[in-house]
Amino acid sequence: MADLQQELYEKRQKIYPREVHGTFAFLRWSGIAGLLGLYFLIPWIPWDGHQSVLFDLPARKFYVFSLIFWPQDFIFLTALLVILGLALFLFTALAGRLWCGYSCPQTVWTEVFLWVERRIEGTRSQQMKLDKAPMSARKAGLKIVKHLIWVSISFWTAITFVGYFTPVRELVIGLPDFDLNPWAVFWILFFTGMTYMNAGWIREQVCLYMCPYARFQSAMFDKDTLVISYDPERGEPRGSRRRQEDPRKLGLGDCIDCEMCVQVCPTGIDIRKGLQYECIGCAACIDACDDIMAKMQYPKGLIRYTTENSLNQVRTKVFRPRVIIYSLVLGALIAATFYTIATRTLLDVDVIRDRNVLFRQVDQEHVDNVYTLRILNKDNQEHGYTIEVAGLKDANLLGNGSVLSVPSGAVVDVPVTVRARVAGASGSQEMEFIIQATDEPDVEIREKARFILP
Amino acid sequence: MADFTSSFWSIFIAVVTIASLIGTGWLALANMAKSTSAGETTGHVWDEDLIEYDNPLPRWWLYMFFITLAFGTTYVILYPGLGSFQGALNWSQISQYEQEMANAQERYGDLFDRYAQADVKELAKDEAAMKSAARLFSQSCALCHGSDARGAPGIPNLVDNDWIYGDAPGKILATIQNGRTGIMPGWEAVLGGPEGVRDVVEYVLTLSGQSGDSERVAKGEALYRTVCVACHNLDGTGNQALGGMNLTDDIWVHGNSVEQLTTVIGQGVQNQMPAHLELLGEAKTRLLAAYVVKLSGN
Repeated sequence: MADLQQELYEKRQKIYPREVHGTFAFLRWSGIAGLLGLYFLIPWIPWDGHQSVLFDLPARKFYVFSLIFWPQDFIFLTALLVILGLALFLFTALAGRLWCGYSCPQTVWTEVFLWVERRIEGTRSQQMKLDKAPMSARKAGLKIVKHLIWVSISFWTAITFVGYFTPVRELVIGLPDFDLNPWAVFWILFFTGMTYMNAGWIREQVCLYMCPYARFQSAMFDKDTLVISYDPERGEPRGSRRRQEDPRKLGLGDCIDCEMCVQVCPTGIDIRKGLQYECIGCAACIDACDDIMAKMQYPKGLIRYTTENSLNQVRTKVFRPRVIIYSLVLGALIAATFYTIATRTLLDVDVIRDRNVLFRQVDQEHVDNVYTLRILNKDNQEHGYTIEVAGLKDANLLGNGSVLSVPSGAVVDVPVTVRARVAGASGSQEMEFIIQATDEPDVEIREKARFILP
Repeated sequence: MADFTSSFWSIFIAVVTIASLIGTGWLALANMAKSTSAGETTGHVWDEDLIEYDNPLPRWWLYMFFITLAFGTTYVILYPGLGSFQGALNWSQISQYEQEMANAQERYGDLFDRYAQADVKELAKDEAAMKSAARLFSQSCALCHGSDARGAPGIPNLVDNDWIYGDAPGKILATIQNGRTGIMPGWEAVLGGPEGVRDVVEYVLTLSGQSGDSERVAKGEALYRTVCVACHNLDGTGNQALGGMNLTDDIWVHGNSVEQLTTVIGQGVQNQMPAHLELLGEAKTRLLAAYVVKLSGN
């Protein structure tokens, strides 16, 4: 009997978060506007003759405004990821899930999709009524319009995303004629689908079931971390009352049990049950509750940013060891990364020895060693380079003195012959190649090599 | 497919593959149809009290099995997978290789056709062509001649403008395309044993301005005039038509010490430049000839 069969996994109940206005809603929307603005605009800004931010994978060049990164600079990506990780640790320890509530793409796009949904289907109760109603021309129309707008936003999101990897102008110009690289088409469709699914359908389930950050962020919480919390001391016992009645006489706390905090919650939890892993820290319940408190002429902040210590009447310590350590490590890392980027040499040299013959006896006194120098000009302009040898007595470069010009971003292989006097020495000697830009003496690389004698 | 000497294994693999697809499909379908009431167990008990609920598979999981089965079936129809069946697309590694070569031909064909007809001396002045040639050289030639083309013991230096077979671009091209076999026979028996060889060595040293024992030089000269002149010429300047090396220019492929010369004259030496026409084709060998011409500054 199929209908008697118990559902073995609970089906997701669709959440209809009620719209909120207030301080934190304003902050969240400012964050969303700023982040989305950056995301959608940056690829369109030209910079030094290229797209301001472009990760050109086929050419293995990564443009970030004035900087050009090469695969050899991959360490900076590692540094960036460590910095981002540490920043997440620091802000989580200080103020809980700030990232989740204000800046996570999942939150940002879900908010935008919710906004669209409200403009088209109406308020929370109108949406619920519409979903319960039988299919009608009006319902179908509203749903189609909503999904079309969602897909359009997703599509433009995908175009922008792909535009960080392939020049966005060419992408958009090629769009009407479908004159696109098949991989670009694939990724545009992929990210359109993903954005639409994530922000339109899956929403809070990403935070609840998929996101690893959501689960491990609580490990960075302590009793002094700012969390969004209901003040049970003040609110309990909850109960409805008329505005003019004095709750103390009725034996009630400040919570009027209006459930506004539950209705606005994008993950559908009741914050009054205490800190829960589902809480993404969006502060919608604070705004909602503050509104009610104002209407009731009670003081605001029945639900507020507070700490566990503060709720228990213990003084909150902002500067505690973990915050200080995170800040120091983060600051040191940021400084080191900036310093390294600012002082890096825009030149890369690899020395490759000829391996077929280790050395070549020219005559009784002289020996040749042959190397291939692979010179990569990482600067965004052409440079001439001189090559010299040092560190080995009586050694010189055959046919030296010529200036090797390498265009921006090019790799040039130069075979070079180093001739040295034997002079009693034998075995493997240390030496180095000095490669220097003729127009910028600072751009210099000393690359160690070995000179092999009989 | 020639991989199998009889068709048995081919049929065996095809049967096992098809049976597995059908079998797993049936298993998934059987699980789909299964409807047990909630809380029913499989009846298995482990470790005294460990029991297992007999619940149906989650739908999304079940559907993934069907998707996998559809993918697998499509795959064995399109690609080789069922024994020696080639697949509907007739794909093979060879056809993929040929396709890629055809793509490359389409992309670079015109350029290489032009190189194949170009004059070697003109090519040497074409900067783009010389860039390709430098890469070709480091791939095909540097192994013996060195990245700097200055050769190695027994292997000629290409930048010194000293030529065994002549400096005409056509000669260089012929050397690269058809290869050369350089043979210096061993003369010890003809020259009357080690002493005769030693006399010739002393004489040969004087040809390039080095000093030798005067008594031996005189004996050596007489021997040289009867034996060596045929290839190395009376004055020691060699014969490029035969590949007889010039002995007067103090450039030594096989070394100029008394020991080295004694070995070469007494025991002889054979050198081989492999033919590259079949390996690289007309265009690339021409590029390389032009590169060698350019290296020696001709």
